Amino acid sequence: MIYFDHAATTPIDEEVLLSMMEYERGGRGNPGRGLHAFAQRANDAVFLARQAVARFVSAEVDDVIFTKGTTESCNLVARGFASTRKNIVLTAFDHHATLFPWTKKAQEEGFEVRVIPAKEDWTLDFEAAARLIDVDTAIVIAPHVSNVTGTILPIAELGVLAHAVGAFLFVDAAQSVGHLPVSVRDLGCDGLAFSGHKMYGPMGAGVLVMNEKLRALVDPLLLGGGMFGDEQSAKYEAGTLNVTGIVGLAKACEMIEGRRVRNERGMAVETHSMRLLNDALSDRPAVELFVPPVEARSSIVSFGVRGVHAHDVAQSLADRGVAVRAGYHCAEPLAKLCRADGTVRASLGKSNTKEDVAGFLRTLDEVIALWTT
Amino acid sequence: MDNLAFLLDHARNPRNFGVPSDFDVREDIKNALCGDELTLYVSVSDDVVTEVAFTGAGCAVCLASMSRLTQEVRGRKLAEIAQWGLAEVERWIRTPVSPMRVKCALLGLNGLQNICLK
Repeated sequence: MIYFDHAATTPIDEEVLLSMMEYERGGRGNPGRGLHAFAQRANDAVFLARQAVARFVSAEVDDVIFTKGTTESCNLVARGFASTRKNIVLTAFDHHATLFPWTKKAQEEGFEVRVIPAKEDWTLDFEAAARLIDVDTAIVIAPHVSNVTGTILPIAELGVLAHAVGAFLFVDAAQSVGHLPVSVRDLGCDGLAFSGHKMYGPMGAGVLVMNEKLRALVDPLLLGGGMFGDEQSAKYEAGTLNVTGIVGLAKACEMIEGRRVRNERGMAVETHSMRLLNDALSDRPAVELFVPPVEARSSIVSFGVRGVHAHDVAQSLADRGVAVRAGYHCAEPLAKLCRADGTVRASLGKSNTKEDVAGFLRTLDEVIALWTT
Repeated sequence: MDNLAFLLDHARNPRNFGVPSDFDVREDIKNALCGDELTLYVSVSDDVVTEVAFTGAGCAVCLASMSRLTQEVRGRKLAEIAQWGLAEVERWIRTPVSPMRVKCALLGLNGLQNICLK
């Protein structure tokens, strides 16, 4: 299979899988709930994982909270957030994981929802952002990378706008962590969320980073056992943690950081493959692209075949061994801005090569011929 | 005509497509997950469907299924239509439908069945 659906999920890295199996085989315990060796082993595993994650995103260890994934992280912040200010600011690029909980909160608590629009070149309208973020803004929420257009948003600049008026900045980093360096410090955000399975780690393990200022205004989502532990994060980690998943998530962080430090080639191959793909797609008159300028682009490209429904293209590609996604990508407002039926989305990863791109293009040409002649 | 060509023919040239001059019921139906949107125009007499036409846009599976439904349903009793399901639709379009496309294939039939129940 030519797998171009990394934005949906990534194949688990072999090192990650081995680390999880090794943890399970060494004796499972419940962290913070026993005095025996297995419980201590679980404590140690979570402790070390929290440090690894903090290093990976340049965050304070105390700010790292383990969740089930990005959606739970985003819901935790939205549901628990309290402010006396009057509006919250989202973007046209936001995924349903941020759109739904924050618009529900706004309906329930009377916040005005403001949305920073996209420009025609699929970048963020920063001038509009400067108008929409004001002294009544409680929080600005934005994805680091759009899961539809692959746009890299100007997060640090949004942070400057938000902090200048005393608002918080929360970032959905689900689509950036496996592909770009992500630093809470450099992005200047107060909160950040991501999922292990989007970065070659396991499903069911994710991260919420919240600094102390934001934590002071966010109540926990879940109440239950283990929430009165010593760590700052304990308040938000009621219930039994997915320790095996957390072990895998930490290994994925180390693996990606190690590759980045030792050898940039992995990232460069992905970037190069992406450029080949974009250039080739733009040479095909039957294809319409929904991509930002190259300097604002990640490893995702959304496109359509003129006159052919996105699902028909994706199904025909799937029947020929090529994996993409089609439709609204859980980001319906943005996807519908592109096309009424959504888009076909190709999203590359660390193992995709120029041979994969060539194979994809051959297959796409067959599919275009099938549907347009 | 092979099966794929048959499906494509009905998707590109759907039968009974357009607003009829006369109808008893109009119903808008939508597949929220993928954007298939159809409007059904149905005429019924003595519990028998006499005519079904439609407008709208959707994927090939949705349009072809709806096109074939309009051909199969004419003269059929409401009670019979209520029993139809995926097996019938797959037979009509001569193509098995993958699990992810079942909602596309059944959009029109389910919409018609909802009308028949009212």
